[in-house]
Amino acid sequence: MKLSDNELKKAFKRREIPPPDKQRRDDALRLATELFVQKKAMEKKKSKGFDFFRRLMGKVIHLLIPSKGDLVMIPKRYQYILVAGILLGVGYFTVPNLLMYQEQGKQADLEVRPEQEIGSVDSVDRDVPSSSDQVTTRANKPQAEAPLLQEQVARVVEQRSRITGDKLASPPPAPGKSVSQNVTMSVAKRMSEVSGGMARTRNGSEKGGMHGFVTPEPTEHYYKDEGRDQFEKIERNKIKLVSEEPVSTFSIDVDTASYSFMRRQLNNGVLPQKNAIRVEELINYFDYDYPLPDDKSRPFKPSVAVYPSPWSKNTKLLHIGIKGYDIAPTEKPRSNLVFLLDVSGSMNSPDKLPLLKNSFRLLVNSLSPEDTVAIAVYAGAAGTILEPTVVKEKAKILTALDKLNAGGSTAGGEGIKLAYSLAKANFSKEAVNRVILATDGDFNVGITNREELKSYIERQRDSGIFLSVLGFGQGNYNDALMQTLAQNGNGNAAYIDSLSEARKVLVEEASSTLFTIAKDVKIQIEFNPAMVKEYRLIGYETRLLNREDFNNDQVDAGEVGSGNSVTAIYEITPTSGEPGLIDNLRYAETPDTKKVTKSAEYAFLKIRYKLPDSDTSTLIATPIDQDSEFKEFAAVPVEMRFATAVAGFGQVLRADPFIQNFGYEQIIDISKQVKGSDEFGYRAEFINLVRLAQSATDM
Amino acid sequence: MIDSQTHANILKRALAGDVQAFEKLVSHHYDMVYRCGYRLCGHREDGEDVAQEVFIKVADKLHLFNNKSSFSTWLYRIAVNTARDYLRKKSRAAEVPYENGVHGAQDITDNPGRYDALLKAVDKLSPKLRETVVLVYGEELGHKEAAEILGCAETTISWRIFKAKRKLRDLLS
Repeated sequence: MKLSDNELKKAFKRREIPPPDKQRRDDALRLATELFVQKKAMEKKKSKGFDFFRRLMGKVIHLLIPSKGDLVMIPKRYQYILVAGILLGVGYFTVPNLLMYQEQGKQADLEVRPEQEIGSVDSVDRDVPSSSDQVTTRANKPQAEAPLLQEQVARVVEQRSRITGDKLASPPPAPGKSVSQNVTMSVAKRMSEVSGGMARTRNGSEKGGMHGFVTPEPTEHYYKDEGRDQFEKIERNKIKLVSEEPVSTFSIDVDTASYSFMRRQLNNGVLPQKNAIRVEELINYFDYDYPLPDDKSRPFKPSVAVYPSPWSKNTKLLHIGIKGYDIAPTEKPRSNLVFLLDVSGSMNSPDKLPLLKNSFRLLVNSLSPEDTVAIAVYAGAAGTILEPTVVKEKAKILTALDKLNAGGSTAGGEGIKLAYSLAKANFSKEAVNRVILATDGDFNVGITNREELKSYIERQRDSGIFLSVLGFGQGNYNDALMQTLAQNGNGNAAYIDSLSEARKVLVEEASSTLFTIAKDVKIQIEFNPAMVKEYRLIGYETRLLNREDFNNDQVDAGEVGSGNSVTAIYEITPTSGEPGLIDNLRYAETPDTKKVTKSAEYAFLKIRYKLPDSDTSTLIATPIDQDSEFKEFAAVPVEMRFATAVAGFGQVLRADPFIQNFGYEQIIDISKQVKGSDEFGYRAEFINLVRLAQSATDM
Repeated sequence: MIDSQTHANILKRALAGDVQAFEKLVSHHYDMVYRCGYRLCGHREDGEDVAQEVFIKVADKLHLFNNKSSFSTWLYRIAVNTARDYLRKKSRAAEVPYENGVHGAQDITDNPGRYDALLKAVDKLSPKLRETVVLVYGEELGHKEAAEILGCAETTISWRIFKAKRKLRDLLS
């Protein structure tokens, strides 16, 4: 049978392509444009210094040409030339010269402007939405310009959406004058506003760069609060003697909040406070390519290794890695989600509610049509703004999200109750039932007592409803409360500092965030006194369990999501090497290495877990022997070396006394060698954060 | 519609950071990207998802566009890659996804069922062959541009087309 090119082309032509949903089209375009605006704002932040000149020019315009109408009459291009000329005039010439410059504007543009002014004019040009020139920024006057810029961008976004709200649907207009005129006017307006409100905006503008895309919102005075971030105090794990306490037990932790909070602080140029660093959350932020279990009857298998520690000659690291079974897309259950969103006054900040809205928009767009979403909000009181709705009616959900506004006090406790009752009303045994709470954790009305909230959440644990906690904002971020909620409510916690983090948590890793494959996962390790003298667990300080809790199924522990990887690292001092930090006892028997029969084993690892719908746990046990030992650090698998670098970084940030002769340089060295394929660039970002920490420490 | 001169101008302004120009640019290309996503993935929602993802990437990476290839080639490349990832994620590539079948005009005298079968057969091709066929016959691009989009040699495209046709013939008979 023949098959001609023509026939193939015809076949394609004849297929009717349904037109895209208008709402989806508009959403996609709006999202892209918002990102573009934010990206631009971020870039601008990097090019410092033009701020001063822009404000100065704003003032000049304001003083010399008070009537905005007049200004609009002059073509935009000449406005800047004019302003540059005026600036020069103020600096070097007298008034007659100034007038001359005004006439010779064009030449002045090309010839005489000193470098700095050229830079400033160009930069302003870039700030204007209808700019048409290729630009470079050359000015250099570091100032705290970021928040000011964000406010500006926010206004541009608002104006732009008003201008273009109805334009997107129709074919794109020719670069018409009405739009650009509109913008020119708004620019002039903005400039005068800026000059007027300069002093005000400059105050409190110290907190500078944020990571990634932070959604700006058209707010004049947004809520600012600093220095009230609350963290639980972390008591660092002690070195234990195997002869005294051979068994170590802890619950796994897949939260990542600590990493993104740290990233945000470092991007601001400050070292995070010690208690904000939970080393295990730093390590578990990354996805490690440990071998996957072969079948889902055993949801994960441990990968273990023993290798020399890069930060101490006398010790070794014992590495336990777990990778959860990844549910195939076809097996994924339906989701019954309740969004519980904090819309109290404290959320009224560009990096809170607006970022929250965009994050949830991303999540809604990635759900399947059969999933259901309900939205509850709380401020002074809690209320349902969207009854459970199937994702098929996406437009309805997105509209409900769009309408949110922030204001009032925070009745978080009441909100949580409402969210659980919504999830229960729509409960389905086959589906994933989950409440997703988004807040800065600043609860101040109703149940505000952490213990009380904790016991409420604990009681809900048996209902089969899972909880995810997404933290937003800084200044009054209550990490301690978020941890309490997530740890006690069969949940996980993440901190959203940017839209890219939202994408990571809610889109790329949605399946591990939403689908739990095992709950109450506990790890118990028994060290062999013949081989190990001392040990210390790195991280997991807030997750330690008693020895007897391991076999007690009533005791709650951490959950593992689909495809999640979890890593735990012990630092051990072998009996064979140098003496450890703790002296031998004079009156105790020293363990005889030869007598113990299982002498080749370092330790015995036991993992207990429950399947999501089960109440009884299953045990996985495996010895860790010399077969899994590497003599050289360089021979250790790439994934494990990277985890070690992250562990080292966490400890350096916490200024742990166990780390010697090991600093940022070494961390960068190791991580550079083991970046792997790094598809999303998270590891490259890590290296940058180490550099930032280095410079923040040097300052 | 936008002529090529205006397009070049808009693109230049968008590259310089002009938000309105960027809006025009993405709005202008949305339908093309959606259509390509639809053809590669098979559902309206898929086309919409792919298009959304593509434009997020465009917003993020526009500054990396270097005029080496044409803008639409660059867009196609992102669209094809995004659709590929999308299908992999949904692991629906193996299914025959088309929901709409073929609705032909009445005046065509030859057998309409054959076109239907032909498109279904196209969906059964391996991802590489299908992408090639969609670009060359669906989007009616030249072999050179398709090669640029798929990041391979022009001869590879010709070879793939040859293989795809042979495979399609087998599937149809």
